[in-house]
Order: sequence, then C-alpha cells, then structure tokens
Amino acid sequence: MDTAHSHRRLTQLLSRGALTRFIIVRLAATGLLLLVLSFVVFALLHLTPGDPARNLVGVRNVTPELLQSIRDKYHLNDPFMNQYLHWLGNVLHGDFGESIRNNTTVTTLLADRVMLTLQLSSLSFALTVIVAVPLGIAAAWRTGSALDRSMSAASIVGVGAPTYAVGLLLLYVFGLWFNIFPVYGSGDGGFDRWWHLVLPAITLASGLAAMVFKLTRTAVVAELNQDYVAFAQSRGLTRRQIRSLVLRNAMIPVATSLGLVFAFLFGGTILVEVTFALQGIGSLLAGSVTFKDLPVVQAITLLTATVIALTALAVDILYYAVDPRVRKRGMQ
Amino acid sequence: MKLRTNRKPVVPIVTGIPLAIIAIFVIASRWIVPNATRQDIMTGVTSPGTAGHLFGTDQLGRDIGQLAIAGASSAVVGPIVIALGSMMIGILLGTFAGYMGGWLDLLLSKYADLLLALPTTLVALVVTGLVDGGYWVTVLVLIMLFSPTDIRMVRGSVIAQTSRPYIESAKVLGLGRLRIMFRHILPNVLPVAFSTMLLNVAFALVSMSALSFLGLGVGPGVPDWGRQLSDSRNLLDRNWGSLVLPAMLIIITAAAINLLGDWLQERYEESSVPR
Amino acid sequence: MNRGLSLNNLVVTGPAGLIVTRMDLHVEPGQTVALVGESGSGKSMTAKAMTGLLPRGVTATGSLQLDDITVDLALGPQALAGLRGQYISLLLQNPFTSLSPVHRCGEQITAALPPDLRRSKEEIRRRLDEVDLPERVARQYPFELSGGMRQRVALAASLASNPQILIGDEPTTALDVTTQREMLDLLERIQRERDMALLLITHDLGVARERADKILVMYAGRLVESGEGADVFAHAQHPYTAGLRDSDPPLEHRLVELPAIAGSVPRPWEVAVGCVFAPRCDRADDRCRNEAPELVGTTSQVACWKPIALTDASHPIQIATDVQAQNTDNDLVVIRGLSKRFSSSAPLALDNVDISIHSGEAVGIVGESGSGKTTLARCLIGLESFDSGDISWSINTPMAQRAQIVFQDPTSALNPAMTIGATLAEALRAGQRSKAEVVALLQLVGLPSEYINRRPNGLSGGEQQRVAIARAIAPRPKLLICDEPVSSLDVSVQAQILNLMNSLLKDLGIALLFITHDLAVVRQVVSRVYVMSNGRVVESGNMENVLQSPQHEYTRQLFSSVAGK
Repeated sequence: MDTAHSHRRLTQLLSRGALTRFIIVRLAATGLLLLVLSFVVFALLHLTPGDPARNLVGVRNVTPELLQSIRDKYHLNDPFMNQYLHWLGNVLHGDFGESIRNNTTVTTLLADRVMLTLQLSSLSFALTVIVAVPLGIAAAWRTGSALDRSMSAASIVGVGAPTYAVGLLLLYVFGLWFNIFPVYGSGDGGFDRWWHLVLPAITLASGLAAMVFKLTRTAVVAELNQDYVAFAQSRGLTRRQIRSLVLRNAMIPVATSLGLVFAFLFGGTILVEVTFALQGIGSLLAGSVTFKDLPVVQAITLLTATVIALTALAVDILYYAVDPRVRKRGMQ
Repeated sequence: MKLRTNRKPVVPIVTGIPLAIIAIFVIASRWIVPNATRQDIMTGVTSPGTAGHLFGTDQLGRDIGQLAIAGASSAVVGPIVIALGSMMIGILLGTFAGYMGGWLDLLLSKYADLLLALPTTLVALVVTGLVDGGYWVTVLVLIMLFSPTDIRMVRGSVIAQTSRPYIESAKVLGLGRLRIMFRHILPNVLPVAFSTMLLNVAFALVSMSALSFLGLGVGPGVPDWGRQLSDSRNLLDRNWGSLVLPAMLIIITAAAINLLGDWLQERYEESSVPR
Repeated sequence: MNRGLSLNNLVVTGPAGLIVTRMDLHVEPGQTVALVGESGSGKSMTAKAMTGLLPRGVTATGSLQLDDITVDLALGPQALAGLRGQYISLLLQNPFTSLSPVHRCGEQITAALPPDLRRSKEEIRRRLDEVDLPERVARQYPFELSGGMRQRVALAASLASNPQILIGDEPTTALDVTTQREMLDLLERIQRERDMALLLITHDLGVARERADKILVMYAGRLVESGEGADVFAHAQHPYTAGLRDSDPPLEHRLVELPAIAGSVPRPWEVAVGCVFAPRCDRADDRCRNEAPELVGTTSQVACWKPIALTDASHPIQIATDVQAQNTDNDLVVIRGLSKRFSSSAPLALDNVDISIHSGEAVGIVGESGSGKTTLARCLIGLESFDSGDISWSINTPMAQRAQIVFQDPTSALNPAMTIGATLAEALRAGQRSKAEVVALLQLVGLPSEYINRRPNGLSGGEQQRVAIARAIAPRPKLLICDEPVSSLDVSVQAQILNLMNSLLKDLGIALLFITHDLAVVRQVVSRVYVMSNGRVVESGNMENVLQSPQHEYTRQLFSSVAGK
C-alpha cells in the first residue's frame, strides 16, 4: 500500500515537472515569435513610402525644427538596430509613442477603446460557442437528417458571407425596418452598451458560428465512424455513455480549433466596428491606416499578435491537459 | 466496399447557374451596360422601381443594377488571379519543401507561422493601406498572404504521397528528383489543389471587397461591389436596393464557389478511399 | 434455458445489391463455430448484422433466436439493442482502434456494468485477472499498452455483461504470430470457464481448423459448405473449399506448384444466376452456370451440383525436394555488421546483422513486427541509411539494375495517375531496356496486353501486385526483394502470386530476398532462411534444417505458434 502510494506521488510529481517544462518551452517559442513580429512591425515605419519623419509629422505644418525634434524623439538618425531597440524598450514599458491624428499618447487612445472591442469579441465568441457547438454535435449525431442538411447548407453560406454585408443587412432589417436595435454607435455604458452590441455581435458570430459548426460536425462525425463506437454499441453501452465517449474524444480537436477561431475574431471586429460605427480598436485601426497614423497601427498590430499568441499558448496547454497521448509525448 | 449509389449532380447545377451569369457579366459588361458609371446628379438618390431603375440610383444618380453588373469584373477577376497566383507559388514551393525537406522547408514553415500569427484581414489592411497601392498591388499583397496556407496544403499532400510505395519504387528505379516530384507526385496532388483553389477564390472575393469596403484597393470611380456597399451606408433610409443587391451578389457568388469547392473536395476524398 | 443462438435466413442488402444471401447458422453454448471466407465473402457483414451494427445504407432481414427471444432483423438495429452486451457481444479485429484513446482501460472495461459496480476495485481486478492482465492496467491508457494487451482489455470489456455468445471478428489477425496463439488460448479458456458460445470469424484456415468444433465456409455472400471441425477441409465436398484448402501453403513440405484457384472473388451482387463459384470452377457445367444450388445435407452441408465425393481421386500433390543451399563462392551481396538506430532513445532497429545472398538464390527473412526485417530490406535497397557496417555488392551496375523491391500493399504500389503501360515503360527505361518489352513483361506476369492502357484503380489486388512485380523485374535486377508481398492478398490469390514468383525465379535466374512473418509462405519459395528478432539474426540456415531442428529458443516458439499446421 505504502509503495503504491509513493509510486503514484512520484508519477504525479514527474508529470507536473513535465508540464512546467512543456509550458516553459512553449513560452519561449511564443516570446521568439513576438520578438520577430515586433521587428517586422517596427520596420513598417521604414517600409512605408516616404520619409519616416515626414510620415510621423502627419498633417501638421512641416518645419525643419519639427522634423528635427521628431528625428530626435524617435532616434531616426541612429543606426536601424538602435532605433529598434529604443522602440522595443519603450514598447515593453507600455509606451508606443504619440498618435499623429489625435494629440494623445497611443496608450491612452487604446485604453479608451479596448474595452468595447473586448466586450464585442467576448459576446460574439460566447454566442458562437453556445450556438454552433451544440448544433454541430446534433447535426453529426443525425447525419443526413433535415436538421443536418439545412444547417450544413446554412454554414456554407455563412462561411462565405462577408461580415460587413451580413452586418449591413441585419442593420437594415432590425435597425431601420423593424426598429428594434440601435443602428449606430457604442451606447452610453452599462446595459445600453450591451444593447448596442447585440447586432454587431450577431454579425460577427454568424461567420464564426458557421466555421465552428463545420469543425464540430466534422470532428464528431469522424469520431462516430471510429471502431470504438461500434465496439461500445456491441457491448451494450447506453446511448448516453456512448455520447460521452464520443464527445470527450471530439472535444479535443474542437477546443483546439476554437483557438484558431479567436484569431479570426479580431480580423472580423475591424469590419464590424466600421460597419456599425463602433468606437473600438478595429475601427481605430482602419482609420489609422488610411491616415497613416503609424504609431497606432504598430501598437494595434503588436497587441493583436500578442493576444493571439497567448491564446495559442493557452490552447496548447489545454490540449496537454485533455489528451493523455500529448502528455506522454511531452514527457519523453 | 463501395456502398454509395450515384446521386444526381445537384451541386454543379445549383452553383453553375449563378456562376455562369456572373461570368457573363465579367466578360460582357462593357456591352451590356456601357453607361454604368454615367452620373446624373439631377436624379440623385431614388428608391428601387423608380423610372426604369429596378434597384434605384445612388447619390450620384448612377443606376445600382448597372453598376453592380459592371462591378462584377473587379469583384471576380482579382480573386481568381489571387487564387491562381498563390496556388502556383504553393505548388512550386510546397512540392520542393515537401519532397526535399531541409532548410527550404524550415524557412517556408517559419514564414507561414509568422503570417498565420495575425488575421489576414488585419495584415491586408495594414499593408495595402500603408503602401497606398491600387487594385493590382492589393492583388499582389493578397497573393503573398494566401500563399503560406497553399504551400502548407501542398506540402502536406506531397509528404503524404512521398511515403507511399509507388514513390519509393520510383526512387529505387533511380528516377530523378524532378521527375518524381512533377511526374509522379504532382498529378496526385492537383485534384486537392484545384478544390482548395476554388475555396480560395471565394475567400479572396470576400477579402478584396472587404478592403474596398474600407476604402482600399479600388479607385474612387471604379464600379465595385464592396465600394457600393460602403456607399450604401449613407443611403439606407432612401434606397434599400443599394445595399441588398451588392450584398446578395457577394454572398451568392461566394457561397456558390464555396459549395462547388466543398463538393469537389468531397468527391475527391470519396474516390481516393481505397476499395 | 440456454440453447445457444440461431440465425435464420439472413439476407443483407447494400445499395449495390445483395451482400449476404440466405444465411443460417447455429451455435451451442460452449461450442466454437468458425465462419471462414476470403475478403468480400460477407462474413464480417454477417457479424455486423447479428449485432445491429450495419453501416448506413445496408439493411438486413431474417431472424435471430436467443433462448426464448426471437428478434426480427428487419426491424432494424434498435431491435437488437437490448440483446447487446448481455446476450451477444462482439470483439473487433483492430485493438488499436477499438478502444477510446482518451479513456483509461479500467473505465472502458467496466462501462457496461451496473453503475454501482463500475467503480469497484474488486470487480476491476477480477475482470483484469480473467484476461491475465495486472491490476495497474486499469489506470493506464490504451496507447501505453502493446497490441496483445490492448486486445485483452477489449476482450475483458466485451465480456463485462457476461454474454452468452461472443462473436470474434478476426480477433487475432492484427496480432503477431506468438501473441496470436496466446490470445486464442485465452479465448478458449474463458469460453470453457463460462460455457460461452464463440463465433469465430476468420480468413485463417489454420485457426479455424485448430480451434473450431464446426466450420462454415462462405463465398461471395453465400454459405457454400459446413461441417464438423477439421473434416470440412479434410473431406471437402465443395470445389471452392477444396481449392481454398489446397491453395493454403503447407508448412511440412514444399510443393512444386501450389494448386491455385484461377481468377478472383466476385462481388456478391455481380453474380446474377447460377452457382457463385461456377466461373472459377473446373467442374462446372451448364446447370452450375444457370441454376443456383441449395445447401443440402445433415451433419455436413454443401451447396453444389457436383460435390466432390470421398471416392474422387484428389489432385496429386507434387512434393518438391528442397533446394540445397549453394556454396558461398558466388556471393551477390554480403551484408556485414549492419546496425541502425532510429532515435537515441529507441532500441537498436538493426543490431550487428550479417547476411549474404548468392547469385540466383532465394533467401527468406522471417520475423514478427519490430524484428527489423523491413528495415534491413530498406537499408539494402538504399531507402534507409544505416549507422555502421557495410553492404558490398559483387557487381558494378547502377543500383536500379542491382536490386528492385515489391511492397506489401498492392493498392498503393502503383501511381494512380499513370497507366500500367506508362509505369512499366518507365521502369524499362530505368534499366536501359526497350519500351517495346512492355507487352512481353505483362505476359511474363500473366496479364493480358490490353492492360497497357488501364489504370491501377480498375485492377484487383492480385493484378496490381502482378504489375508491381513486372515493374520490379523490368530493369532486370540481379536481386528481387519482396517485403510481405502476399500478406494483403486472399489465400486463393496468394497461391497464384507465389507460383508466379517461383516461375520467374526459374526463368530469369535472379536472386530473391523474401521477407515475411508467415513460415508456410516462405517455405514455398526459399532455400535458405534467416530468423530475426529484436533487430538481431537469431538463427540461419537451410530452410529444411531450420524447420526440422530449430536451434534458437525464439525460432522454436515461432514454429509452435503456427496454427493448425
């Protein structure tokens, strides 16, 4: 009894150590990816046509003094690597410089807007998962049924349908025609804010839900065709038991792809925020790009990359937790 | 054991009709609607059904229907070029990377990792916006953004073929690498590549019109569905046609291409299952 | 009262037509019945119909009788749901896919028990003990176990609800020879202890002969013959049963030629009228071709218009004298001290292997999976690198003309995008031979010249393997390597290919390296043999000598595992 107990403790400790090692390795890889990306993002300043200093002046009057002060401030006369290291040092302290368009720091500008994008993203992500995953499971369970056929057809349209077109149609039907939802703007905080976000969130979720539906359905169908399902049936397991067997297996690829969906989410928020005139990070990016407000563009790009990289990391760890096969490989 | 009976080809018919109509618009719009971009400020915005304008007019008095027919080519031609271009890159680099491995493979997979670390829409927006290019620059940028996934797809299929006995037999016969890659492996990868390319056309169509919706990609006077949608935001209360027509055209075209691509892929997967 | 199981008038229909036609069978408690047939015979579909697990689009009619319960199979799979587990249970072929990869073994074994017993340690221990597994297995995941252990877990799971009849659908086919025997012994012991009926579905005549009380032979969806135990083969009445028996290579002696059945197994729905076997039967007459025979008889039954009587003269079997190994003065290739490791943590795949092959000689390598036999072949042909040792050839031609290889799986052996003619022409060019030889090459492997324009998809497995052999001999190599060339083929087709290889060796005078797990098969082809285990050559010598007086413990174990021979 004693030896069995200590044996189990040992394996627990071992696997905990393996998890730590796994996380450290993945963190290092994420850090490296972000470092390379930060370099590319910084290089945007020099890749943009025109003199970087002039680009940073924006629409202000160009005077030699102003250009000189900009050059000094951004170390534009230093060698390229030094400029980058200066910039990176500032970025790590949360300083992305000043917006060209608005005379504030990029950080304050982002702070004002980040909440709305977060609310919009989480609302549509929640909507997607709540609607698409159960529907995908149900459709896979009855392949060929009316539910499956109609949902599969809808998902093909949904995957292909552009977010802004769907958004405008919804806006027209529910906002202008039936006059149920507010048409434009971000609302005045609290419940009003959420009420304003309903249509945009549905818009964003429609494309994502189509994708998640497809992924879930494919994953569950693949599992249902496995031998272990036939074997479970043949030895008399109940429908409920078989379902839990299948879902536990199918949820592994589904959970992984939800991470991927998250990456798509931000691409979509740009269009939805512009469509519904919401004051979030996405519409800020669209505006800043057309205005060539580089510090803002750099900040948003890097921020997005960080969020996506961290999500990918979280998914990997989740993967590790739910799939014993990955655990084993991680240990070796 | 083959358990499927032959079904009627519903999908090619259902998708073929709208795609054929769009194709006619693309090829012949200059003859069908020669005056699509003619402005008529006097008329201004009218609602659908007004005096010979089935879908009404926009604030410049242009007929929405004619504009949409003329806009088909900018909506479709760029995406086709994008899908073709990125698949050509995908086949060339993916085949080499998959068969030869080594540093090229490593480099390409890192490149793909980097690009996939950000949403395509965001990168496309930032690059085309900052570069200030026109339509074809946007096409070029999207080719670069689409190619990593194509490279990955081709690379994966090539690797799957490489371990098969018939490729090993070809190696044992002492055949050259190029011959094995392009005579033996490639013909077996092409069917998947083709259906992926179709799906890419749909995705590129949505991406291109998204960029023009944001005011990038197409010049101001050029008829384009994304641009029409963007303009329609200011006309919603006066002409619903300006929204509904281009929106439906984009949705239907994208869905038809997606459906056809999905169907081809499924058919290919079924036929490649060993008996 | 337990009276076993009866299946009456089973008909299984798929979208293309009939898959199983009018099938009856009966299994008594404690009895083992073997259902024997080649691929496409409908034996697996019979098992699936009995457990209500038919694939989408396939339906069954007929009835199943268990104790006092009669189930009408036409009512669909739900009608059988209540019987599964407690009355009837199924053990599948592949232990790698029949268990859920992310659930622990203990959980899977007890899932079918009443809820209060599922967590009982005592119960799990008892169940594991029954299949000779240690208690720790309960906490392990399937991927942490060997194939044999996984199949024991699956067996324990299928027995959880104490079924009266267990159907084993090729339950040992995916296992190694030695593990196979252990598994069959275990099944037999459990069956005896539980007085359970066992329906064994197998393509392996040896297994059926050795283990079954009653054997049923199926062909193209029909039951063609049934009878008591080994008698069915010893006194085969149906020409197909006799053909199957004769084409199964014997271990005791080498035959001049294996009596093969010409052609290949038809799809059940392609047979319109007459006896299903008539097109391949040399006894067939007009009635056989026009009228389907019924199954007749009492203890032994046969469906044949012209059954073979006991008094009929059987085909004279010519036993060949084993070719004596030649002396070592004309070595074609000598392998010395070959070692290979795939990764630093893995054991040696090849451990100091010495092998030599003389010109024109047929050499066998026998071993189970993981023995290193395939790795050795791949090193020899240059598809794999090795860490140390050397391979020295006595000839100085380009590699393509030294050695060629034929692989196991015929379906992926040929490029699906190329015609047979193009494939062969390319191989000829690689050996600097003329494209004009394509037709001669096809003839050499027994295929008609029209096949030049066909693509691999339209060919049967046996035909595909013939083309693969033709491609390999096209550059006229001095050595032909065959890696399990007949393991994916049906017994009747296997005999054709083995005969073809023997005649090619004689006509072309090339050397052969034949790699296989199957002792009886290698016996029919080679004169000298190496036995491999865990990357090492444990025994080598004259085929006959090794068979008669195996020196190494592993060789003896391997020989004693061969079923029914």
